[in-house]
Amino acid sequence: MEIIVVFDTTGKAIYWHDKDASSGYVPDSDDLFDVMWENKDRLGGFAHTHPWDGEARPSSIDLTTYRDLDKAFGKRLVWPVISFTDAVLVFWTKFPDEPGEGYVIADFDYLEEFEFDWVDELRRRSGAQI
Amino acid sequence: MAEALNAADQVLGGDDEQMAVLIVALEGELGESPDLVPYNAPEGDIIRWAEEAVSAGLPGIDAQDVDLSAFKVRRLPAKNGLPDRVMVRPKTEVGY
Repeated sequence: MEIIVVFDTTGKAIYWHDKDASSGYVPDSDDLFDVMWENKDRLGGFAHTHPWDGEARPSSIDLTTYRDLDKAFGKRLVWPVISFTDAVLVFWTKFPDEPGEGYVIADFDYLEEFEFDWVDELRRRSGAQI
Repeated sequence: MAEALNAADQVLGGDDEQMAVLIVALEGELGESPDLVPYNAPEGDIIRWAEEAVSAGLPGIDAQDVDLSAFKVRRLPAKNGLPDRVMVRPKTEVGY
């Protein structure tokens, strides 16, 4: 099952969310939005799982959600995507090697200000045998 | 006997329409429109009014052209002294 964990600006988990989730989708949720808004001053972003082995990459649905949440919260949030065997960070930034800006996929440890200690727990809750 | 509504009543639904405060979540603020909107208006209409309100400028939110077409409409009934409200907020869905 796909699971979301909301975290603060240091990476510490604030809230776990799996309401009405399936193996490939976590639907829109007032509860999730409310938690994020109530914590907006310390909000770092949220991670979600792709509950299978293989490369972790954001879907087009993920990216439109990130775009709109970034716009609503008025700051750059970080969006880890985590499979059972891979993990990446997704965030909006200026492109490193060309003009312009947009969403980039980076190594999971790319942003040093974050320390994520919930990855095993996230995978376990998603069904990984750990 | 039929009576023609004026333009404002046609948009707002007339005197009996349940009206609500329009709130838009943008730039870390909940911008409140000075104009009320019908509480039960279709989502597409509410999104369009929200875009127009942001374009005109809301308290705490710079006036700007925005595409809120993927945002959600949340209807919040009057509670704890607050009036009926409709909030336009980003979706939270992920997957596929």
